[in-house]
Amino acid sequence: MSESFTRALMFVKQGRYREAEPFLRQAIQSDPEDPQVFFFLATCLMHEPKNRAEALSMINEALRLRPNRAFYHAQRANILVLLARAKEALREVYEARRLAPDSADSFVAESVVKLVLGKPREAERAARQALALDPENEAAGDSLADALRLQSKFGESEAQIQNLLASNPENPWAHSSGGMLALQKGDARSAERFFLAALRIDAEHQEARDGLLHAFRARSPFYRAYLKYSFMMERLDRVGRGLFVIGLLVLLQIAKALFVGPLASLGYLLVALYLLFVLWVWVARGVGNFFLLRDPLARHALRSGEIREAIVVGGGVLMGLSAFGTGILLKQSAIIFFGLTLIGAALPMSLVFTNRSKAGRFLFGAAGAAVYLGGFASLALLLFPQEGVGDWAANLFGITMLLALLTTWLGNIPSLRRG
Amino acid sequence: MDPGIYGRCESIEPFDFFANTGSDFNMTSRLDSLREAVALSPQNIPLLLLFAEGSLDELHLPEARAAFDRVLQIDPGHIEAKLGIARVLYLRGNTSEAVVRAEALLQARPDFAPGWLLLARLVLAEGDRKLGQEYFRKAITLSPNLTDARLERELGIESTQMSASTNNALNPDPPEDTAEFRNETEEAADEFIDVEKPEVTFGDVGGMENIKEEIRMKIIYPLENRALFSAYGKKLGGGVLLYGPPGCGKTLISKATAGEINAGFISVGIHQILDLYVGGSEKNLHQLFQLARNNAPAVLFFDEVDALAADRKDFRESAMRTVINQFLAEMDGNVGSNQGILILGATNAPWHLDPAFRRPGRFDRIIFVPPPDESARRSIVDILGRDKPLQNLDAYALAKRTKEYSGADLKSMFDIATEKALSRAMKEGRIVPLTTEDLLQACKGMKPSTRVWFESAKNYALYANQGGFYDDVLSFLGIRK
Repeated sequence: MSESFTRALMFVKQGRYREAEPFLRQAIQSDPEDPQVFFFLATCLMHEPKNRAEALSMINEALRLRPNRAFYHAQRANILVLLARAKEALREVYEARRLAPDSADSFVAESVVKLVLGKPREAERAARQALALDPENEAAGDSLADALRLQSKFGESEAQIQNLLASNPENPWAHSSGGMLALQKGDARSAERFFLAALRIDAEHQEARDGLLHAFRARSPFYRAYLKYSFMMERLDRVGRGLFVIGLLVLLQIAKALFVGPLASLGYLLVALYLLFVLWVWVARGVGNFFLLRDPLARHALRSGEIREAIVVGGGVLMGLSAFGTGILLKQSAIIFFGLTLIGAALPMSLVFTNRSKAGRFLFGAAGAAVYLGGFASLALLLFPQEGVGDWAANLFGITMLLALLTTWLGNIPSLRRG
Repeated sequence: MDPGIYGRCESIEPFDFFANTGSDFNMTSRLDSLREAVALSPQNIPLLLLFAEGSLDELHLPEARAAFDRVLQIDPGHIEAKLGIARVLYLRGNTSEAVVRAEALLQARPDFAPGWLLLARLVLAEGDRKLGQEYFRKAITLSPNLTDARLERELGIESTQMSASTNNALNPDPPEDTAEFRNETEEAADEFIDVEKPEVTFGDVGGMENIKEEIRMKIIYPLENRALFSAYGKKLGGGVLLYGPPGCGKTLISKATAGEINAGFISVGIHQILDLYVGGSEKNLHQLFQLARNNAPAVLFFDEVDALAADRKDFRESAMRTVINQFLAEMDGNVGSNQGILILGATNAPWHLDPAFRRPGRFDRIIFVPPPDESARRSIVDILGRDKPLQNLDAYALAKRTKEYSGADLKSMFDIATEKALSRAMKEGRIVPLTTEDLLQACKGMKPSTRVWFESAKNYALYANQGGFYDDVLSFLGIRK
């Protein structure tokens, strides 16, 4: 074992993956045929989102050198999950299970993959199988707690988390699971405590940090409502989610047909509420972060991209809503245009500052700029009408708003939107 | 929305796999593992040397010889391999051949002190004590810290240069167990740990005034006012932990501390401590402290101390835990007096340190070494500009433009600019001076390396600031007034 490899292993044991990486690269240079070095390098790289493609090539190399190592396959499955390739990950899990049917690791990996695929019941079964083989397996225990929570088995999930914390009070994942459970139950204060406990143990715990931000934002009732909606949608599978939105749309059409004449304004209100409901998903985080900017502790938890998002998206939506309301009250189209422009632009801009997809950042950034340009150009045409251009202001504004809505469809393409 | 699901993949530690599916690291013995490793990696010189040394220790002489020969096939001039072969020959009883080999290697490298030490032993074995003494002195002259107490006794030499050098007038408490110490330090010296006498002092370190003052309080003033300090029951020495982003002068200030008090400076890297043998690392650590005790006042400097003083909860197996326990025991002075020893630890990752090291009597002064401020950057720019062809260097402008830069970043900026100036010089066939503009241009493509560190440090300061450990970081970031 080379000195570099020994040093790297020490870092890996401490979870210091970034620091282990250069030593592993050195170790590869001195021994390019050692599959373990590639395995550990893949393990280190997978923790950095930007390095996950390389992590996959490293685990592939480890598997080339030792194709029958079950835990290499299990780790490959984990990397594939992180790369949002869950179906391939599942195949890898099955291969790992074939090679080592008595290994808990394959079942843990399967449980995680099933969670990602939105199959918490199957995830629970796999986690329990892992625990039957290795009752001390913390990763399996954590996965079981999550699978139970996602099936709304709150009591069982809570008991599982308590068990995990009783056997290891310094397990940040268990604290984090506790935080997610509290969030799902609508108890933002408890969630905050759980996430802070996880961060005290591991200050760079990404899940706990994200959870803490959710908990901070959930101090606002609007964000709590959004969380409830998100958790509800999470419980549905892909088809169920689609049917839910389509069902709402059908109900809306029925309401529009019913509310005519003196009830027409009620119909418009329903349309506005529907749009707000559908579009809120895109801007909820930015708005939530905007409120956090005033909090002395929480604002420091935000990263620079999140702060910019808070200002542009959250600030834009709130200012836009105020302007829109004022414009309606004063019956001033210019103020309404201004408000809608800010709200409309917030939709693509919500996929710019924290999006890890370079193509997505570019595309949605350009769309956001186009919405600002189109909106303000329409506003200028409205304020300073030119002869011979007809109703250009309204037409241009309509096209601009359509563009803003179109970006929400593009935002559903996974390769353009990576969190 | 649920961040936990994807994150779970990262929660599975790679060692969980080993625990359950059979580890590749279940070594029955160090030598067996090394043998396997060498078979897998026959071109790896450090590995071959490690294996050869291990074989020598176990008296597996043919294997040791084969490994040293292999090193020489790869690198025919490798001096340590040549020395190794001479040692193998000596242990086999072929002393004459060993002498010939040792003389040949010393002809090629007359400054190679371990060669003279071996030759001293060889000629003594051949019955020439006088020549042995001469060779021994030669070895000690070349490397004053090199010693071999047994050989010294056999040669009938009263005292070595090393022990003479340790009789420092400032030494308040010479160790009582000197003879025992010599035996122990014998091996430490074999590991080539040098006791330096740094010439750099606080005057050579720009800025860092509060850090200098802390260190003065801890070691310099007590040495100057020994009676006063002992009247208050204060002991000389102790532990100071320096932490901060990399490249910001932690090593330099440690060296300057030793220079300031004219004390010995022992710089320790983790590779000098860790040993694959069970108990080997603990022994190395003890020998190192003994070396410092015998050279007191001395500064024992542990670079990247987080690797050696790591949080024990990160280590499931007991091997590393016992090393950490040994380190704690040495720091406490349980195994020898630490009077007059300043233990300095430097780390970029204080959050990985075992909390036990922060208790009183250990690293009880914890100092944050931030990136250089503007005036310190100016001084660094001036220093880096020395010996370079410069034209109108505006250190003020550069210092202003290089906010958050570490000393290492500033050096890198100079390197980039110098490379560009060199390429122009080669094209024009004359010396092209380096300008402020060149340096500012070099800056444009650079990001301060300290930023990444502060991203992590901010998280620890916000969420894991027990006992106000990271208050200085919070103040530096402007989060806490």
